[in-house]
Amino acid sequence: MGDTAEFAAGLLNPRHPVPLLVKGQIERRYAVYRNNVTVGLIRALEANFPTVRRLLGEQYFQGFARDHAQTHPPHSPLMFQYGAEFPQALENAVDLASYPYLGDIARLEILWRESYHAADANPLAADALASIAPDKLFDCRLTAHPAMRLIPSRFAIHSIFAANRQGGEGQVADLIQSQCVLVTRPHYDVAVHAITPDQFEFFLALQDGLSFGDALDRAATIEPSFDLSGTLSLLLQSGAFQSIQQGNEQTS
Amino acid sequence: MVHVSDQAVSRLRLPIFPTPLNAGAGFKHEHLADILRDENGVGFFEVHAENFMGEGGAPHAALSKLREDYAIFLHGVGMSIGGETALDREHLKRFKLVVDRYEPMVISEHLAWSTHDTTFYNDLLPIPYTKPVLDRVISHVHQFQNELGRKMLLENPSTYVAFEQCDMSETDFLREIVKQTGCALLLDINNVYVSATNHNYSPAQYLADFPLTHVKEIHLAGHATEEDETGAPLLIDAHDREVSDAVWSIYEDVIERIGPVPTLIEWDNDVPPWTVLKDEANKADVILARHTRHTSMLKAS
Repeated sequence: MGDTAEFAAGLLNPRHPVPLLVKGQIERRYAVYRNNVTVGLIRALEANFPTVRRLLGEQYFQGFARDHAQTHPPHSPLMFQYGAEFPQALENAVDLASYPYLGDIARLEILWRESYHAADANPLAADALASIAPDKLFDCRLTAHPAMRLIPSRFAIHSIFAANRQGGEGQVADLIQSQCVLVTRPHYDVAVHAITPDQFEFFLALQDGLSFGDALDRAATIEPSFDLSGTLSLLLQSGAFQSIQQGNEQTS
Repeated sequence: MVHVSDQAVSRLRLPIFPTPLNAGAGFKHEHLADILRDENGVGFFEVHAENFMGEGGAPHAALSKLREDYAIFLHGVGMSIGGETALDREHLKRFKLVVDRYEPMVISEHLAWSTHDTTFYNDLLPIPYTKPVLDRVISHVHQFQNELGRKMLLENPSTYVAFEQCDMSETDFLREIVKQTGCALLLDINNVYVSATNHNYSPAQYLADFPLTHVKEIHLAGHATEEDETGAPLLIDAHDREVSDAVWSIYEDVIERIGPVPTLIEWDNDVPPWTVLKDEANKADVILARHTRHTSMLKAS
């Protein structure tokens, strides 16, 4: 076995003996590395999942994050991407079965961070749709802004997120209420918007490259009285899209 | 006719600064507003490369703004140059993108490893100083420099354990890397003090053996003091407080011998207000100014 293989073997396993290649086998000294590695990964999870941390409480989060770091260490040096398996781990935890929304909160926090680090782009101008004749609008396609993300949930994840992450009170009346979320970052600040399931379908269809008309059909299968004007106003105001194509033209 | 390559033209994209004679500070995003308001500032800023490997957003906006007024030193913490595992090609590409984007004055990494197999341990882990390990580090330094198209600085580590098998001293190990790769050195004086205390040797003796002429940057930071189970002192490279008096004293000795060298204050945990970090940089400035001689100023610029 090579030196880093032998040294690594006990880093995330506190029961593993001090590697033989360590001079004097001094437990306390090898433990500095064990501690640095484990605490470093716990801190990364704290930074990436502040809402989950607040919901679980500091002490419980620390223990859960420690177990997670030991069983699911990162595979990339980019710590802001660490925790892809964290939502599933929260859902699988028997002790957390009465908090079934934690997984989706963690997923929303991953999307929040992806949005924060996404490429820069100018969102569609507020009057981008005004110049398009109504009969042409239905053939138009949009290109999503690089920082736009969508997530559906069976739980009130927008309310929970807003109450616990953005300096709120922490209390949400009805947790078992389906909420979808649109995440955008038109400039440098990430925004989370609660959207209805039909709006979610509409934005998802547009993100997938469907035309306005086809996206509208998708939304109408969910909600026949889909609020097109309200949704278009959110689309423009949130900065979810960066450009619009009608035929071969492109306007941004 | 002189042919100007595209690369040479692109180098002119960002401001070029002289080698800073004042100490720099590790950049923390929470200090940005205070830094931009601060008319005197510091000599330069150093950033961890990995924090700027996202595509866009606030981190890049902050660093782009800072880059208008300051030289930027780029410090990698995840390349795992000391590791058995081959360097991560994707990570090399990402590092190159950051270099192209910010045209840093200096690029540095550690004599340490953080990745084994596919696991990233997010820490600077130690290596035994043997011939096979020397060969792999040299090959990784070559690969890193070739990928980036420029020379790097390699930093001496702080260590908490020694290894049973060791064929050479850390200073001989570093000297051989410099000789075979042409890289320069980043001398972390807190690391010297931490390692010397932990392994019971004299920092002065270590520095007497250190290839000081190749030092192009110095790091200073604070450490925590503990004990191991044998009662021996165990210093931890915590980067969470002021630089210790012992480290300042060694720093002054080094500057007296080699003249002013760009010096960085690292403070990564329990980050203080900007003014406290800046005060630490100013302490280094006093020592740098005391030993700024005409010749060394010429050399430094």
